Amino acid sequence: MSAYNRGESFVHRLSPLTKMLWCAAVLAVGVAFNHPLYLGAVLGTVICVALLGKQGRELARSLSGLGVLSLILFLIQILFYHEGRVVLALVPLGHGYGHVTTDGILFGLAMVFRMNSILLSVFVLLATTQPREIVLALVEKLRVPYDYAFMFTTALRFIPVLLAEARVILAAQETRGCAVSGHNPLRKLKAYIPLAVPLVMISLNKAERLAISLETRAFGSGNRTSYYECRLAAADMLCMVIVVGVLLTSLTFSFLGYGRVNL
Amino acid sequence: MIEPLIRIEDLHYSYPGGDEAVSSIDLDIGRGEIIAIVGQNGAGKTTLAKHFNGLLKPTRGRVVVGNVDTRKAAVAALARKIGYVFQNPDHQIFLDTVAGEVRFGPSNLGLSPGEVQRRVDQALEVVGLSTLLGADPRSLSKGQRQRVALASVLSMEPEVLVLDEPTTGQDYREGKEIMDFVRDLNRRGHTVVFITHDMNLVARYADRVVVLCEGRVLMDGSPREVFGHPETLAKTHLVPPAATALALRLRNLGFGHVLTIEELMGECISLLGGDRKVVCL
Repeated sequence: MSAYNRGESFVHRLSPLTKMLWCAAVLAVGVAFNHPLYLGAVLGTVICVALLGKQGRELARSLSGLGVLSLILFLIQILFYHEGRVVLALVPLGHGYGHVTTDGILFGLAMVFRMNSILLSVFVLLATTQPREIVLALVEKLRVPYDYAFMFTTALRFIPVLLAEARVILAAQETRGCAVSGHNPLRKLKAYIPLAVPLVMISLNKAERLAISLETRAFGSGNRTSYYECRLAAADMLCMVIVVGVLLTSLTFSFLGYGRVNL
Repeated sequence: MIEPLIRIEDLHYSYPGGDEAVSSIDLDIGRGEIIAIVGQNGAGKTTLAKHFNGLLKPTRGRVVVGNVDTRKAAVAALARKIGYVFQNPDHQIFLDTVAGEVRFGPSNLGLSPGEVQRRVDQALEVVGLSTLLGADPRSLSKGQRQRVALASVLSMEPEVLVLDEPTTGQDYREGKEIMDFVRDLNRRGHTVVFITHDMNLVARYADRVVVLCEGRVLMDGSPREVFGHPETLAKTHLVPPAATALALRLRNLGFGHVLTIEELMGECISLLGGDRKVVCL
């Protein structure tokens, strides 16, 4: 989910700045509306952009990964939201508990669409933009200090590395007869210690080695210049205008009460 | 043929999103063998070894341990039978004493406290860490940590011991002690498979060598057979031990096929008309 997918598409060619603006817009619009139909439309546009960036396969993979999370979120909403007309009473007696209501279903769907569109928009940004470009855009256009921008991309860069390390550690502990199974949560927690401790130690070591290798290569010794420049092309300008236009329109409509349900 | 303990049939494996790392491997590992797996970096040595205890499951073909298909068994269950020592000890060290680290494996097996203690003591003795029982593994050197990792698997006394480069980072004497112990284990009936880049180690300790090249078995035989074909070995960028190479060059002078310096000396003495037994002492 965090890896850059080399490719050639309209979305790949856009400036990271444009894509970041788009992510921010998806976030704002996602929060502004709370009607599932409107949020469904937002998710629809995110999926369209992902397809435009030729990320169909990765999109399907992330969607199936987010599916479980979505289902849990949906179930929590319909089980604990009691306003509106009762559709199904799981527990016949009493008030509220176990009553599935229309509003609960609507609210649950809205939450699922909202979460998926926000997460997937960030996924599209990361999958179609080289970390180097993101740093450049942050530093040159948004005046973020280079150290912070570097920290941000390093963190992203290390997610897959740590996942791989975690897999090896799991394998190493399994070969010593350590099995993470059973139903007792306390015991389960205890079984994770053999996995967590080496992972933390390895990460600390990695960070230290990284710091040393940065310093031996004169990190932070002066002003950096870079070979690549963060340029905004005509297509970027056009996209930004569209994004800002849609954002302002959406916010206005939401302010006027469209796409908001009183839940 | 010795009774096969691990049977590998037409094994293919590709890492997710990658090319095939091993292909069409057929291999029987017999009870009581001591086998070296060699080959250049990326030849598939570790990938193959990780199939022995189910850490990797075949994409095609099958691996059978005893009479269990590894695809149908959990790694933790196979761990009773097959011990695996990883290259990097930091992937498993999590306790704050050497003794505790070594005790972790056997206590997962549900043994009596006395038996666990016996195994811990013995394993630490073998790797030469008895004096560092209470030390924090993280404060030890890399070589010492590697021996802690080795001891923590030895203490499980598995039927089959798989070692991924057991002597890397060890000095000559430490490496020799580890391998001597591994050979002792083998003589007591344990099956051993080790991965190495050190051809002298192969010549000294292995009964059988499996040479891998680009994911396939290039040669499979005794060290004597395998090192007799330097041209084939070169395909996977390996050279026979120096003594063997020298004897091969001196073939015209009447030198036979040797594996170790001692054997080479023996050849010299007998060619000079002496009694080779004198040297072997």
